[in-house]
Amino acid sequence: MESMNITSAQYHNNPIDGQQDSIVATIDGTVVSVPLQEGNRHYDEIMRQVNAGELTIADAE
Amino acid sequence: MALSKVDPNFLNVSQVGGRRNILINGNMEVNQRSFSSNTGRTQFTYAGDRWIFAKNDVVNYDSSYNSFSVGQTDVPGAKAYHEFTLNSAGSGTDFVRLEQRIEDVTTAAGEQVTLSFWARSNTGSGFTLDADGITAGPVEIMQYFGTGGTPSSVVETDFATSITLNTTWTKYTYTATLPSVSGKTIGTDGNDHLRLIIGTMMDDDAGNGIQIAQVQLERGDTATPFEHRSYAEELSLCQRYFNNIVDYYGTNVTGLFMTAAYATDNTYTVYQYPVEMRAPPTFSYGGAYTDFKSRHGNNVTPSNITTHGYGSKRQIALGFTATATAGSAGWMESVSSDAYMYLDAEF
Repeated sequence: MESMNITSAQYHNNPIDGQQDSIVATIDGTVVSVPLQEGNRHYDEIMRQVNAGELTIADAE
Repeated sequence: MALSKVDPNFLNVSQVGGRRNILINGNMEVNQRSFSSNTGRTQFTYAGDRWIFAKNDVVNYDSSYNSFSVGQTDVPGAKAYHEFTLNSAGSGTDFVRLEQRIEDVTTAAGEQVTLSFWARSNTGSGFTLDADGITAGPVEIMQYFGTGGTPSSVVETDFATSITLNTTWTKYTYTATLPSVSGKTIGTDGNDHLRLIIGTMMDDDAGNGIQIAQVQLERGDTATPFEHRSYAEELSLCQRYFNNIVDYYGTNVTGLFMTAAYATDNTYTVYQYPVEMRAPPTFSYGGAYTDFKSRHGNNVTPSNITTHGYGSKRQIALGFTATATAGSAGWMESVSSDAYMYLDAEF
C-alpha cells in the first residue's frame, strides 16, 4: 500500500519444528520480524515487491 | 418503575452519548512510539498512535508531535497536537498530509458524517490548504477496499476543497455523505479501511505549516463537543494496532517476561497481547542487545532476539540467544531507556 524501503529479506525457520515462520527484513532501516500473514502491511509490501521483481527473499540459514 | 414509564426520548442520545468519535486517539495523547520529530522525512511515518504523516516521494518536510502546556485554554481539553512544515515548494502533485486509517471500509457507508478539528497556521500569516495533488481535496475520506482478490477501486469524498487557516487555533467543522458500498468488493487480505486525510499540496509556499489537534469524526450532520475518553481506554483502543511491550522505569531494571531455556544457549517466552490485534503484528526491538538482559542464574546480554512461531493476533513467541542452563526458568529485562519492543499491526 505504501512505498517502503526494503533492503534485505530472509526467511526465518522456527527452531522448534524447522518450518518457515517469518521473514526477517530490514525496512526503512529497521530490522523487523514479519509474520507470513496477509493483512500485515509489511508482509503485503514484501510480497508486492517480490511479485514485481523488485525484491528476493533469501532462504533461511 | 414499569418500563412503560421510560420516556424513549431520553434514550435517544446517540449524538451526545458515548462512542461518538469514530477516530482513535483523536486527542492525540497516546504516543507509544515516543515520537517527537523528524526533519526532512523521506518516508511516511507513524507518529502519535494511529496518526500517520504521509507524503509522496520527493517531498521534504518536517513533522513533530508536541504537547500543549498545562492549563492552556486555546483548545479546551487538548493534550497534544501534530504539526508539519513544508521545507521546499514542490510541483503541483507533491503532497504531505496527516492521516488516520479507520478499520473496516463499511464504516458509516451511505451515512452523513461530520468532521471537526482544531488547526492553525504555524507561521505569522494565514495559510491555505489546497487539494493535495493526489486526492481531490485537502480534507477528505478515502474508502479503501484493500488488497487481495479483485477489490473495488478507492472512492474519495471531499469535506472541503480549500481551507484558509488562521494564525490562532480555530475549530473547523465539515459534513459530508460517504457513498454506499453496496455492490463493492472488499479485498481478501483484511486491510480495507477508511482513510481520513488532512493535507496540502507542496506548491504552497515553503516554510508554511499546520498544527492539528483534537480531531473528531462522527455519524450525523452535527459536530458535537469533543468526546473525552480516559487515557486507559484510549491506550487500549490503540493497542489493537500497535503495542510497545517495554516500559522502562528510570534507573531500575524492568522485568519484561518470564523465560524458559530449552537449550544452553536459547531461551524463549510467549507474550499475550493486552488486546487482540487487528492482524498478526510485525515485531521489532531496539535500541541494542545491550539494552536487555537475560537472567537464568546469570546476567547476560542476548546476542539475538527473534520471533519463535507463527503469526497470531493474540500472542507471540519470542526467542533469545543467551547462555542458560537448559530447562531452567528465568526472565528477560530491559536495562535502558533506549529499550523497546514493538508489535505493529497498523495499516
